[in-house]
Amino acid sequence: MLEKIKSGVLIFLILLSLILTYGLWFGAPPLEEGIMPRYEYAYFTDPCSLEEIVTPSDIIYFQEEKKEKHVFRRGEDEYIRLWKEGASVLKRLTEQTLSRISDDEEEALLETVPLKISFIFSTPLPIAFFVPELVSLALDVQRAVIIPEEHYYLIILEGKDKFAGRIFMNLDEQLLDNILPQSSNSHICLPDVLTLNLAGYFLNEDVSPADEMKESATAESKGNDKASVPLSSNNTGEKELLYSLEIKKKGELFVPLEDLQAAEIILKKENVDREQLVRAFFFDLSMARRIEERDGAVFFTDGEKGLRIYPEGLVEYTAPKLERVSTTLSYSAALQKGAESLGIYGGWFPGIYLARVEKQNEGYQLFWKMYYDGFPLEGKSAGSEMTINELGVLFYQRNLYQIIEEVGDKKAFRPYKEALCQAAAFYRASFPGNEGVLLGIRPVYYLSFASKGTVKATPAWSVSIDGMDEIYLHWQTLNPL
Amino acid sequence: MKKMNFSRAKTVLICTFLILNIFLFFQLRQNRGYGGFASFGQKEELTRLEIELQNAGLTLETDLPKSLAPVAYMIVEPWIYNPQELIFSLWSVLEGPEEPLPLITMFVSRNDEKEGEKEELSSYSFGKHELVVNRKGTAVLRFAFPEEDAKEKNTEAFDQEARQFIGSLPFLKNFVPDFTRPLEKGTEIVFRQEYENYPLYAGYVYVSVFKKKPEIIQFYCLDVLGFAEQKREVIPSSTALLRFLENYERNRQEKSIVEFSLGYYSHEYDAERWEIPPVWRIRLNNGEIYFINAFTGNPEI
Repeated sequence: MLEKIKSGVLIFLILLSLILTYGLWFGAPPLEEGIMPRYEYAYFTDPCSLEEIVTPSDIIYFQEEKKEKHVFRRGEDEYIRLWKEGASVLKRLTEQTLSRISDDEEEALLETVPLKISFIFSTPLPIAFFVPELVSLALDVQRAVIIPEEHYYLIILEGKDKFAGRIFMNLDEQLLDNILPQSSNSHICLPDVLTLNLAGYFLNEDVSPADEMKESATAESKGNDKASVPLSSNNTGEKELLYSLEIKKKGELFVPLEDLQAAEIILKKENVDREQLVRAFFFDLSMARRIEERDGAVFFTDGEKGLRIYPEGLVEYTAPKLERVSTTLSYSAALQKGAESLGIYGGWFPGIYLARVEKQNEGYQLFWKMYYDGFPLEGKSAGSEMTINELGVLFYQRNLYQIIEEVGDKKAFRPYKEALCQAAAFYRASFPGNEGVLLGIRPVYYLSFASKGTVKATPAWSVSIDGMDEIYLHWQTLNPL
Repeated sequence: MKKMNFSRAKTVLICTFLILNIFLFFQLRQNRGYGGFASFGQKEELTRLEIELQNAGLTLETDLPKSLAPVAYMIVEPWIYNPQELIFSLWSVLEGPEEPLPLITMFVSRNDEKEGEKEELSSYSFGKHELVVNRKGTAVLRFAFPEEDAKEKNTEAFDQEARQFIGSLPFLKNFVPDFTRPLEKGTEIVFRQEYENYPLYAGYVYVSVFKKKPEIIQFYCLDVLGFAEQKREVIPSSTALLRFLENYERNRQEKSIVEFSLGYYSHEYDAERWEIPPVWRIRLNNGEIYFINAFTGNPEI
């Protein structure tokens, strides 16, 4: 009997040891010793190459003989073609081909050239993005000038320092002149001081027809001469109300010489996979708790960072824990990290360009804007903004749209002079007695919401006068938007 | 050749397997966080905890809870109430059901600056009492208490009375007494909401007793819809304590941790619906309360 009990106990103990061994072997590891799961970034779009991160804000073609300037802007077909050609030339630079030059040497080089094409980088281009071997120059290019000569290109790079070099043209380039524009887009450079006749503007709101404004022959002033351009009213009998507007960026403000044609456009909010977007920020979706707000927005947070998706599609992300007193991130690293993060957090989008970069204490602020047919899309937080430092993205906002179609026929913008008068009249009313300093004028698309939830963008003049918020004037009525 | 003694062999095997099973059993318990003894790694952790506590000027006056089963987010909505009905309930309890409810005067919503944001408040006066509610759902009841009653009572009596009062309000039936903490000029008796035996620290009732008489009751209640589907392991209490100590700013005063418990907590959101994470709540003897997210280990501020 005892032997039977012993056998039974032994069998039970053997089975129990098997069960316990199984539990130990296959059971969950202790939490403290748990292995951190590995995550891989899932890009919405392929990460962009270095040379795609920064593109010129304007491409200016200058022809000495005809005194013509043609300006091509982002989103225009000719801009895209010219930048492709220009980039292929810049990529052929080597350390041997470049030599440092002084301001005087640059002036001498540019003095006699019959034509040149300038690539203006409002966001400086680290030259190493194009030619890695030039990293030792540590040059952030603000303007690259390509001057086609008979058998070679003369290239001038302007940044903190200036460099010049020559590279030989290949046979195609010698025969085809691809670097030169194939269409025209004539512009003039605004003089240092504009005198506007504000009679009939703003106060009665019924904007008068285009006032004739006589420009002096020295419309394109050179040097530091303060060439005043008197702009007087036509013979309507109205009393003249002259107002002077100083131009801050001398020689840098271009306005179209010919009529600008545009049409209103209908847009659609970009369609981003919401779950993938949340996953991009939180990796593990189960860690992000969901808060449905009263305004229809959905907020995700893990206590450290928050992602808010508004009903109209605007995406806003903040990670205040990553804020630092000062950043150690370099400019070029910020550009690379920013471009990579944009690929992860929603992806690159057709027609978006890096428009501005600002260094703040806590990191770099990067702004991307959408461009259509040479005009940036402005208003209602359109575009994307990101603040980044060595720890990651602190702030991100994304509000991008797909362009569906143009509405109606293209019509001409009201002349830039009228837009300036209207803006100056507003400025004068807001700051009587102050002298206005014009910071910028450009044609844009201004975002507005049409009926039934559709989104519309209206062509407008954007005028920026120092001390006053940027003003957007309707392209047809010049009423503020 | 000796004859094999099977009986002895069985006894040896039984002893061997018994020892093996005891070892395996404790090892398994240890891995699941129920260990009564510390392995090498845990010894280091315990030593680190002791050092960190010492550096923070804190002492641990409570046991650290052992690991618990996986849990999920709790889904809640703000408690939507009709102030008139609320006032009727309060009046019945405060003045007795026989006493007719006086005219309720509603003040036009006024804006008060709170944490830099404008807050919309609605104020209702009924008799000597006033109920102030805001958009998020927080309500404050200021009520008059007969002065002569106060003189005869001590704090314990008020504590008991507060419990009875909260217990008699039907809309606060899910609230249980939590703790009492000193105020600058009085005492605060705190109640917390509960759902399926889980403390919901986000829902609360604060009964403030000044000059030996309760004057203000502040409450915030949530409608619990249930739990999210996905369950996750919570971080061990020791890890949560370490994360708390990493973020704790020491001051001169020596303090002690008097409570360490698991529950649910979140801000008061002006939202339609939200998920609340499980948290480790750490309460100090001076009334300070800290929450550590039991999934992430991050402080919930």
